[in-house]
Amino acid sequence: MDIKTLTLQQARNDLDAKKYSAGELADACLSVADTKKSLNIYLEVFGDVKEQALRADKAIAQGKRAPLLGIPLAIKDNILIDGRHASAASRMLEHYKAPYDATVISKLKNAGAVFLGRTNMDEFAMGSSTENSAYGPTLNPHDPSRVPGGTSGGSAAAVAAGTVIAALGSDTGGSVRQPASFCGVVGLKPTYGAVSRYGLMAMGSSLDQIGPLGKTVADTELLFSVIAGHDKKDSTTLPEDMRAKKVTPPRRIGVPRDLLLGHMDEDVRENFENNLEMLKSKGYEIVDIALPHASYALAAYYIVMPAEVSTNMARYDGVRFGLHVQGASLADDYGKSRGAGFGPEVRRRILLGTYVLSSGYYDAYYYRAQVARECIAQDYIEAFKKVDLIATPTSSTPAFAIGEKEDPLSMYLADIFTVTANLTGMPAISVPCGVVTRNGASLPLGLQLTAPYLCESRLFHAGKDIESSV
Amino acid sequence: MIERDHIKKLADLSRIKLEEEELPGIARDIESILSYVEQIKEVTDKTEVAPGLVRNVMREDALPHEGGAYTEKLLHEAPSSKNGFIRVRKIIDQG
Repeated sequence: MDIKTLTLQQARNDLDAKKYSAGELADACLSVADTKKSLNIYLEVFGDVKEQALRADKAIAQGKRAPLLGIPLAIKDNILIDGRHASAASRMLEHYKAPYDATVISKLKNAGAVFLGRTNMDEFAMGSSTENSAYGPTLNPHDPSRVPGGTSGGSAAAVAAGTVIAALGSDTGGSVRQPASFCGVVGLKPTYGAVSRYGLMAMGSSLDQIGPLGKTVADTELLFSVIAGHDKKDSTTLPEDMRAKKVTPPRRIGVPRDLLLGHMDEDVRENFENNLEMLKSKGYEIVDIALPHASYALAAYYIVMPAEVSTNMARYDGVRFGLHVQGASLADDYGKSRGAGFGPEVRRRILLGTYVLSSGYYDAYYYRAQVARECIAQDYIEAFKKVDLIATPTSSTPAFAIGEKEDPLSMYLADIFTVTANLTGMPAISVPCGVVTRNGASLPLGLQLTAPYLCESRLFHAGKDIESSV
Repeated sequence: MIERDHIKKLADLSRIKLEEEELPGIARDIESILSYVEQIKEVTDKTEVAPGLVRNVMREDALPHEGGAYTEKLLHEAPSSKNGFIRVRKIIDQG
């Protein structure tokens, strides 16, 4: 079997029809993971994958049916699996073992999933390329001289390289969608509150969502249906009665022309326009829309997010868990532990967050960013009165070269199209929509669709139409 | 203009020990990021910041789980523990 093209739906059918066993499927994945070792996708391939798979085989033999029974998945290293290491690719948590299962993990376990390993990422999910991992960058399976995107670069590469059937990542400013786009897979950022974050290491708490990555829209949809739901352990999850609504299928797609005026690779622009034409030919109506405040999204994001980072990262004090470095006093213990445990980007964001929250600057930065965020959300709500979906490229370029963006601001600019969905809390998906050529390598592109709150089904509907035409 | 003294102060507030030689580079990076996000000051709308879909969630003031269920696992992650407690540094001098 070829894992690279094996979809979740196909694997499910094959396992149920006993074309091969979960044990054989796990072996095939492990063998690909082994041949792709140089890509540095996994921080750890678990030692008990075969045992997990054999348990699934036993259950299948006993007639048990579950959507993910025997399906190998990769999990981003900031999601807790009871008893296993979870480091968020940081030195701070190098030896940390999760004391409980994240809610998404309990749900995947109940659905019978096999966990292949924990994937590399930017340290504490801060970055856009997976180069900020304390354990070295992950390389893009389509061209190892390029980044896989980030922060869920390991999870996207794990799916693209054929080491697993699907994966989980987390998305604070594009961290599922942008690597999905760079690696040629599908990635979903669900509605804020759709999926429980209990057991996800917090980064920007008003922005973070766990999201699935798969080879097809249908696989991503299936994985989403397994992990979504209200959770009393996460008070930001939306109650079930808010979700149960009938969503009309998408017909009109809005294009925010003003937003597309900024820098974009010419062939990315051309690809985007061609895809709009294709959607038209499938019966969609394409209309121009205005989002007057959306040009401030990136600035608002890089104020709100570091502010939340500086707050969330305060828990790493070298006393309760994580790295401890002994100093001359308690304050010195804190300073030394945090100084030694955090890499450059994490420190930078903590310092920046401390700055924008300090009393003299709070009104000028943090408060203004909150107002901008509200205006952007209102722009989107207005736009969704006229259209069912909004389309942009996921990223203005294909995967960039490792080491290309050394200055932090240029790295931040890579998030220009993705941060708005996190600021507004609306769901967005990246679907592979073609390739461009750079130095002889064929590099995937992604088309991003955004939907109103809790209208993920529209993303899947239109996503499948894009997928079937590429 | 962000000076190295600003960075020192921020690092102190954030409890992160930085080396002297790191300061100029960090100051330069923060300066460049701030000069970009500065544009947020152009947003002069009077919009109220709404709480979105968020609503207040309460739970009974009761034990969420059996006492001690996680003690051993959590203490195992602490850098130093003794008799079921996390061991911390003495911070009060008896003078």
